[in-house]
Amino acid sequence: MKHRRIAYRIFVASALISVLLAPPYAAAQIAVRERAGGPEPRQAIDLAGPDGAGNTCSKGLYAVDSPVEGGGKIVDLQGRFKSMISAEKNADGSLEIRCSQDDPPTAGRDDR
Amino acid sequence: MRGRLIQVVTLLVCLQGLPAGAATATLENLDGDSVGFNDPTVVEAVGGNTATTLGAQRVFVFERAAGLWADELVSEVAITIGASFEELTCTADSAQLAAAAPTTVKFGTDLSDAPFDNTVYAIALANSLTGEDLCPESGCAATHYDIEAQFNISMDAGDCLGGVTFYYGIDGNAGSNQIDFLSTVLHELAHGLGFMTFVNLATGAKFSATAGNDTYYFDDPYMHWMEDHSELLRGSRPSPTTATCTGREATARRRRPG
Repeated sequence: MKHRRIAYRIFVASALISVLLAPPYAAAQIAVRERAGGPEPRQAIDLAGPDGAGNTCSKGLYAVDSPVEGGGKIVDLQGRFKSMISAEKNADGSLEIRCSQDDPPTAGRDDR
Repeated sequence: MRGRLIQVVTLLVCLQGLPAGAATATLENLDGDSVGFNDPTVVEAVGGNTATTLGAQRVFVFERAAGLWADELVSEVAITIGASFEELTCTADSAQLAAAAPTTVKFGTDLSDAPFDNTVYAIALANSLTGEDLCPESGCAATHYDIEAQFNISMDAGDCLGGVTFYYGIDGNAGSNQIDFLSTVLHELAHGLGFMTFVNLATGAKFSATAGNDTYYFDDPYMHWMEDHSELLRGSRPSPTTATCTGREATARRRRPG
C-alpha cells in the first residue's frame, strides 16, 4: 500500500513537472507537411484554419530550421510585408511623400 | 504599464545608442550587369558624391545610408541588405520610390534573449539578440540576407512625376524636382530593421500560424508599441499617414469625437 502511494505521488509530481516545463506558446507545434516539389518536410505556417481565421499575408509561408545549433525556426517572408514610400504630385506641382505597407507591383526587371 | 512601455521602447531601439560603429551594414548588390547599382552611365560628381557613374553613385549613397544606420546600432552580427533597382509604379502623377522589408522573421519563443515570447522578430534584430547569424549564406534554406530593398529604376529615366529624379548627393541639397535618395534609403532600411508591423492592415489580423485546428497569432515589436495605451502613446498622436490603427476597436476609437 505504501509503495502504491509513493508511486502515485511520483506519477502526479512528474505530470505536474511536464506541464510546468511545457513551452508557454504553441509556435513550435506547427503542423508538418511536405512542400510541393521540396525534398524535405517543412513546418507549415499557414493561416488556412478551419474557420478561415488568421492573417492572409502570412498564408502559405514556411518555417525552416536555422542551420545554427539551437537557432530554432526561421520564416522566409518571400518578399511580403514590404513598406513602400511613394510620391504623389499635387495640383500645385508640389510633391507629397507617403509611406504605406503593401507588396509593390513589380513590372519586371529592366535589362537595359 | 510603465515598465512594459520601457521594455517596448528599449526593444525598438535596442540596437541603438552604445558605441559608435558597433555594427556593420553592407550592400548585397542584386542587380545584373549594367543595371541599377551597376549602371555604367557616366555622371558628374554631385553634393559630396564623388563617384562618376550612375551605378557607383547609387552604391555610394546606399553605403552612406547603411553606414549611418550602422553607427547607431549595436550588433555583433553584420547586417546584410540585398538591394536592387526594379520597375515600380511610375506615372506622371505618382510613383513608388522604394520598398523594403525584413527577408525573414524569427519566433520569440525560440529566442532565449527575446523580451517577448509570442512575437516575431525581424531577422536583423533576432541576430542582434542572439549574437549569431541565424541564417548565414551557407546552409540556410531561407534568404540569407537580412533586408530586401527595391528602388524604382524609372525615376532616373525622367518618366515619373513629370520628370522628378533621385538626387544622389549626400549633402541634403536636393532640388525642387528631385527626391533625396539618401533619405529614401535611410527610411527603407528602418523598415527592414523592424520598424514595421506584420499585421494584415486590411483586416487587423496579426501574423498567424496554424497547427491542426488551432490558429496562433503573434505580435511584433512595433505592435507592442501600438497596443500600449499609455499616456505617452496617446500624446504621440500618430498621423493617419505615418501610422495605422487597425481592427474594430481602433476604428471605433478613431471615429469617436474629441
